[in-house]
Amino acid sequence: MRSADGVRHASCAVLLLLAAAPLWGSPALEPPTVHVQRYAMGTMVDLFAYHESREVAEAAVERAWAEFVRLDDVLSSFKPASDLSRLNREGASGFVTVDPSLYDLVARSIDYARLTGGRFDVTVGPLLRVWKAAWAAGHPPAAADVERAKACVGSDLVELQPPNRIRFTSPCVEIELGGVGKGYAVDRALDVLRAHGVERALVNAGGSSIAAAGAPPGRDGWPVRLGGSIDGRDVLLLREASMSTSEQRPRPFAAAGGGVGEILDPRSGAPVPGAAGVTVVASDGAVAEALTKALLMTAPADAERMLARFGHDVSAIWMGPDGAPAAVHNGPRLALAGPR
Amino acid sequence: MVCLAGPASAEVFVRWETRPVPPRDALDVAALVVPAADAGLAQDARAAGYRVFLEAAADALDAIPRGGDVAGVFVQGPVDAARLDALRTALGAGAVVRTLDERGKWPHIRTNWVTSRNGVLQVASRTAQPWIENNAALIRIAQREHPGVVPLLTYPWQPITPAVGGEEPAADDYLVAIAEAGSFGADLLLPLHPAFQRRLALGLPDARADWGRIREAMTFYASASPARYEPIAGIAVVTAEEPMRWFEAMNLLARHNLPFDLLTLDQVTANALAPFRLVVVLDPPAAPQAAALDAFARRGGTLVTAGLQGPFPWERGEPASRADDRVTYEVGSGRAVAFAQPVINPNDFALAVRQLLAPEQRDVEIWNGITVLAAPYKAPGGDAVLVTVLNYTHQPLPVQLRIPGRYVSVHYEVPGARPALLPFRQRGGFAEIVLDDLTIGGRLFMTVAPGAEPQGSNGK
Repeated sequence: MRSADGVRHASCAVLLLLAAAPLWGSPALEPPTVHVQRYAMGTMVDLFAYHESREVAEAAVERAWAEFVRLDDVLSSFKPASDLSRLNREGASGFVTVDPSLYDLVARSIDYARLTGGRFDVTVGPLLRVWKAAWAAGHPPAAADVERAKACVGSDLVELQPPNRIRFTSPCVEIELGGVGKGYAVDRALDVLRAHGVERALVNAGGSSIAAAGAPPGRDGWPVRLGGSIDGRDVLLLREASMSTSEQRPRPFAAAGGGVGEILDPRSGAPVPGAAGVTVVASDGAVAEALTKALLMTAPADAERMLARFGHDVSAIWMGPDGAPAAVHNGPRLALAGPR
Repeated sequence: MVCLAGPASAEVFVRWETRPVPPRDALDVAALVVPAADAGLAQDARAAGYRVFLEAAADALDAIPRGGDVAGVFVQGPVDAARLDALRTALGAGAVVRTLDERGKWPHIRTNWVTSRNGVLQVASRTAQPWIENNAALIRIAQREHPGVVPLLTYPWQPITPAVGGEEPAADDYLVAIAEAGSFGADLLLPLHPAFQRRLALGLPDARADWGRIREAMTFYASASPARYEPIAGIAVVTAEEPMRWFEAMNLLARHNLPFDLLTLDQVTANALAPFRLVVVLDPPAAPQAAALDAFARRGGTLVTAGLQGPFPWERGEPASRADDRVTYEVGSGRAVAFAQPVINPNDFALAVRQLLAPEQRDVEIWNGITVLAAPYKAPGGDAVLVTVLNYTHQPLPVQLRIPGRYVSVHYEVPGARPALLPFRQRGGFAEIVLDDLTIGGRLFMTVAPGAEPQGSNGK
C-alpha cells in the first residue's frame, strides 16, 4: 500500500523499485583485493577495493585513507588544532579562512538546515554540551540552560564569504559536524579511490555512513544488511550511492525520570523522544547523513515534501523501537535483496 | 579506594620459531623463547648468543632436557604446582619455570561487522563505537587468581580484516601488545610473525626499523613498570569461585576506565570492603557476607547487585525508587541498587555503574578518549601516582584526563622521548591534564602535594 504522501508502510507487501540479482544461492563474495580497517572520526572505517592489480588497489586505498584522515583533522571538533576548532574559537571575532572542504561542508549544511526546516542544524553544538553535561550529572538540564543554548543555535548566525571564509554573527555560536561529517568523508574517500583507478570500492564509517562505487565481481551491488526486513528482504544492494543510518536510543538519567539520546531537535532544544532509527540512501553521503537526523524528527507521513526538496533519488527507511523497518520512502537507489 | 599488592616485575619475552636465528647483537635481546620440541632451534639460538627459554605443553614436560643450558620453561596448559616444582628442581638453580596465561587476545581495536555471512558484507547501524579487544580485566583477574605472581600472557595474532594478504601484524600492533602488558602489570611472551622473523634474520632495513621501535617499547615498559606501584581501584567486584564466568562484566568495567579489584564471596568482610566506594555483587552471598555488604552500604557505600534473588538485609525498607531495570534502596547513609537481571548487556551495565559513581568518586576520567584505557597506581610511600595511558588506535589523539588528588608536578613520558614536565590545571580536588598527541602508550608520574590526601581517598 502506498499512502497519498508517497510513503509506503513496510508491513504491507509492495514490490520494490529495483530488481536485484538473487543474493541467496549466489556464490560467496569474492574476497576484496584490499581491505583495511582503521580508526578515524571516532569509529572504525573500512575501505574495500577490488582491482586486478593489487598494487593499484593498495595505493588507491592508502590515498583514500589519507584523505579520510585529513578530513578528520579538518572537521573534528574534538581536535584542538582542527580548522573547525579554530573556527569555533575565532569565528565570532571575524572571518576565518578555512580549508575548502570545511567551507564546502558548512555551506552545504546551511542549505540542509533550510531544506529541513531547521531539523538538521550544525550549530547545535551549545545544546549538545548542555545535554551531555546533564547526562554526566544524572539529571535533566535546567530549562534556563537549554534556553540560553538555544539562543546560540541557528544557521542564520553563520556567514559565508566565498571561497573559503566563515564567521559567526553571535559570540556563542559553535559548529558541530558530527551529524554530517562521516557522510561527507565516505564520499570524498570514494572519489579518491575512483580517481586512482578503482571502480569497485566501498567505504564504511562505523556502519552508519557507507558509500559504494560499482559492485563486487559477479554482484549487482554491495550487499548491506539492514536492521530488519522489508517485505521479507533485509539486504540492501548499494551501488553508486551512499547510505546513512541514525538511531535514537534514549538512556534514563540515573537520578531522575526521563532520558536522553544523542540526537537533539534544534528547534525545541530537547532530545528526539522515543526510540527510533532512520536509514537514508542517496547519491550524496552528506545529504544521506543529514537527512537521517531530520527524518528522526519527522513522521513518515509528513516527510514527502521535505524529501522532494532534496531531489528525486532519496530513499528512506524508518525503523521502530525494535529496530525493524516501519515505513519506507522509495527512491531509485533502494535495491533490496534476500529471501522473500 | 584500595591499593593492591603489585607484581614484582614486568618483562617481554620474544618467541622465535624460524631459521636462521639472527645473532644476539641484531635483536639486542638477551633471551629467546623457542619451542621445546625443536631442539635444533634451541641449539642454534644458544650458538647465536641467547639465553634460551623453552615453551612446552604441560603434557610434554618430561621431554624437557635437564641440564644447565635451559634458562627456563614456559608451560602451556594447566599443570599442577608439584610438577612445576619438580621441573624447577630438575633444571637447577636459577632456572625459571612459569605457566602461560593463554586466555587473552591480541589487543587491538575493531568494530563488529558481518564479514560475509550469506555473502553480506556490512551491517548498517548507528555509528558503531569501536570495540577495544583488550586484556586489562584478564590481567586483573589473573593477578587475583595467583596473588604475588606476575601473569605471563601470550596470544596468537588474528588478522582484523579478511582481505587477501596483509595478515601480518604491523609494528604498531606489536607496540600495542607490549604497551598493554606494561601498562596493566603483566609479562608478555610476544609471538613474532614468521615473515617478520625471516625479514629480521635477513637484516632487511624495514624490519630492522620496526624492530628498533619494538625494542624501544620493551625497554620503556621494563624501566618503570607498574609492578613497583600499587593499582588503585574504587570498585570491588564480588563473585563466587569462578570469576571468569563474569568476565565480560569486568571486561566492560575495564573498557570504561572503571578500575576494579576482585573479591570472592568468601573474602567478603567488613574490613575487606572498607576501602571501596562501590561494590558489585554478581553471585548470591550467604548470610554473613550479606550482612557485611549491608554494613558497607550503611556506612555510605553504593552496593550494586545484578539478578540476585533475596531477601537481603538491604531490602528491608521500602524502595527509594523503581525503574524498569532496577530498584534502589536507601541503606543507612548509602544505597543498594538491585538490577533485576543478571548482567546480560555488559556495556550497558558498565555504563550504569559508571553513572552510579559521582564524578568525584571516579579514579580516572577521560574525555575525548573512547579508544584510550588508563590505569592509576600509587607509589608505596603515597607520595606519587603513576597513570599509564594506552591508545589502542595507533593514531595520534588529543586526550584529556582528570585524576583525583592534589599534585605539585606531572611528568609525562613516552617511548623514544625524554620525560617532559607537563602543564596541568588543579581544579578542586582534581588535576586536569591534556595529552596533545597520545599515539600508543605513555605514562604520567604525578607528585602528590605535601599534606594532600592520597589519590581517591576522598571517595565516599
